[in-house]
Formats: sequence, C-alpha cells, structure tokens
Amino acid sequence: MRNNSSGNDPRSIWQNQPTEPSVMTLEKIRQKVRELHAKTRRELLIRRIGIPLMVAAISGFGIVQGHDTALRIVFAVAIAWSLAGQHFLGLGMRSATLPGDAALSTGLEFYRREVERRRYLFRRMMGWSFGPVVLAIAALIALIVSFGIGNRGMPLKKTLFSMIPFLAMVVVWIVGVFVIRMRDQRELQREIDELNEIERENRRS
Amino acid sequence: MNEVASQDDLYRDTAERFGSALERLARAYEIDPEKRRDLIQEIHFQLWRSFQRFDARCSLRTWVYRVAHHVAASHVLRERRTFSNLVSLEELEVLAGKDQGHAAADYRINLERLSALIQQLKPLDRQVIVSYLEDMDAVSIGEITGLSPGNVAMRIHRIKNILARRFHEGGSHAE
Repeated sequence: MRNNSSGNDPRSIWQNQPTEPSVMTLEKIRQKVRELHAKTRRELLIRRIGIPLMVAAISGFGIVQGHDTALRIVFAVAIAWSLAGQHFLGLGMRSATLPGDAALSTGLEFYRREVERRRYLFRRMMGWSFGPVVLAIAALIALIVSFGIGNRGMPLKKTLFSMIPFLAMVVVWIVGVFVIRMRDQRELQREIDELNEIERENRRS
Repeated sequence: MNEVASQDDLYRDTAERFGSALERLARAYEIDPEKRRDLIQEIHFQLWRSFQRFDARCSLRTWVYRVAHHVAASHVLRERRTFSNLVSLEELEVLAGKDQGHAAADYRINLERLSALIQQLKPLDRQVIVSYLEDMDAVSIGEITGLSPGNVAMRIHRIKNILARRFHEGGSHAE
C-alpha cells in the first residue's frame, strides 16, 4: 500500500480504502452454481414462454371467436412466427455465466463482443419477439372491428371511435417500445464506433 | 482430481493475494453496497470457474484482472440500460477542466469523489483508471485491456490531468 502524507494522492486514497476481502468457500461456490442454473432457467422461462404465451392467448381467442378464415390464418401465422422466434432468439442467448475462455480475451475484445452480442439480440428481439405480438394485436383489432360491423351493425367509423382508448394504448405501447429499442440500438452502435476508433488508434500507435 | 485440486488451490491463492484489489475493483463498477456484494461474489465464482482453463499463457495477475473486469463490464451492460450517462476519459478531461475540484481533508469524502468519478467512465476507460490506481505499469495495463502502449500512455496522461485537477495531486506519477 502506498503511504502519501498529503492524503490527496488518488492512488493512496484508492489503495487504502477499507475492504473486507472475502474468500468464497467451495460450498458457497457450489451454491452459486445452483443459483445460476436456477436463474438461467427462470430467465429462459420468462423470455421463451412469456411472449409465445401472450401471442397464443390473443391468437387462440381470435381463432376461436373469429369466423373469418383470413383472420384465422393471420392468428396462426402469429403463433408460428412467435414459436420460431423463440428458437432463433435462443441461439443468441447465453446462460448467466462467462464463456470458459473469457480470460484469454483482452478487455477490448471482450467488451466489443458483449456490445455486439447485445446489439444482435436487440435486433432479433424486434423481429422475432415484438413482431408476432404486434401482428396478433393488429389481427385482434381487425377481429373486433369486423365483429362490430358484422354482428352489431355498427358503422366502421363508430366501431373505431368506440375503440379509441384501446387503440391509443396499443399505439403508445408500440411507439414506446420502438423508440426505446431504437435508442438502445443507436447507443450500442455509437459504442461500437468508439471501439472501432480505439482499435484504429491501437494500430496507429 | 488433480485438475480440480489445482483449480481450488489457484482460487484460494488468488483470493488471498488479490482479494482486496478485487473488492476495490468492484467499487469502481457498482456503487450500491448490496449489488456490489453480489458483483464480488460473481467475480469470485467466475474466477474459480476460469481456473479450469488457466494455462499460464499470461501471468496470474493479468488473468485475474481480465476475468474480474469482464464480469464487471457485463454487469455494467446489464444494469445500465443506456450508455448516455457514461463518458470517455477525453470527455471527462474536458469536464474536469471546467469543474476544478477542491481537495477535501476528509479521506472518506475523497474516496467517494474518486469512486464517483470512476463510475462516470465507460467500461474500457474504467479498466485503465483502476489499473493505474492499482499502480500497474503501461505494459500490464495493455495486457489486460488490449490497448497499445501508445494508447495506454495517452489515456494515463489524461487520467493524470483529470486527477490532478480534481485532487490537486502532486507532480510525481509512477509510470
């Protein structure tokens, strides 16, 4: 440890901070392994079952209640899209542990891989997870509209008017998700651009 | 069996030698004490796991710091949904120029200010500043981060400027 009489030397401040070094016992490590497995299973369950379940619930309702063949096909496509999405999304996901050879990578290499992996997942998430939900909701709206016109004899304008609160909620949700995802994408891209610049500097020096 | 024993031995040796440094490293990445405890446990666990593959291709210290920084960087990416609040050393240097710090007599306040300053940085720059504060030389920092010696030197120069402005640090710096 450094000993700086001024007390304002950052390295001395940093190195002399109070710590309580902890050594994990092997029992604790085994417990951590069990916790990690449980966490990974939980996350996979939420990510891989939550969205298809939502799509299946909306589409199932649509298929049972609707009489229009075209709409039923759209609902079926939404279910199939969502199920296929879970397969493709699963390919890019990693469990909650680092890859075994992570220490062979430098900070720059590892960080770049992590940022790129995240960007890739965000992109896939939009196509394979958000897409089927939007399709199912759009088909549900079409079903409700056709129900209003066909069964209750309401004009299209009046049907849509009565749905304004629901439609507004859906639009706000879709726009919100889209804007947040796009912002995340832009920030990840900016991060990758900065890493590219660092690598260029590396090559120059 | 031997492999397992050596993995455990390596871990115990590492925890003993680098335990305090790892605690400090976790402080650079997580301000919340509860989350920091989890992060430290995660670093220890991933270190133990990584020793299955340790082949002395690099020094134990480089290995330990790489794993610890990787775990911590993943933690930052996971916890912080956006990067907009994080800055690079270059940006921090500009900010430090506008905001001249006052040297505080209280050690705790100085430590908090230093931690807060580090936590503004992007993960790669955090690796450099933490390594610098741990008295590592430019070559070791380069091995851990993957930055070229010139790039490390430039970043250390910036770090010194920032720290000098914020802490009125004396002129002597170990390279």
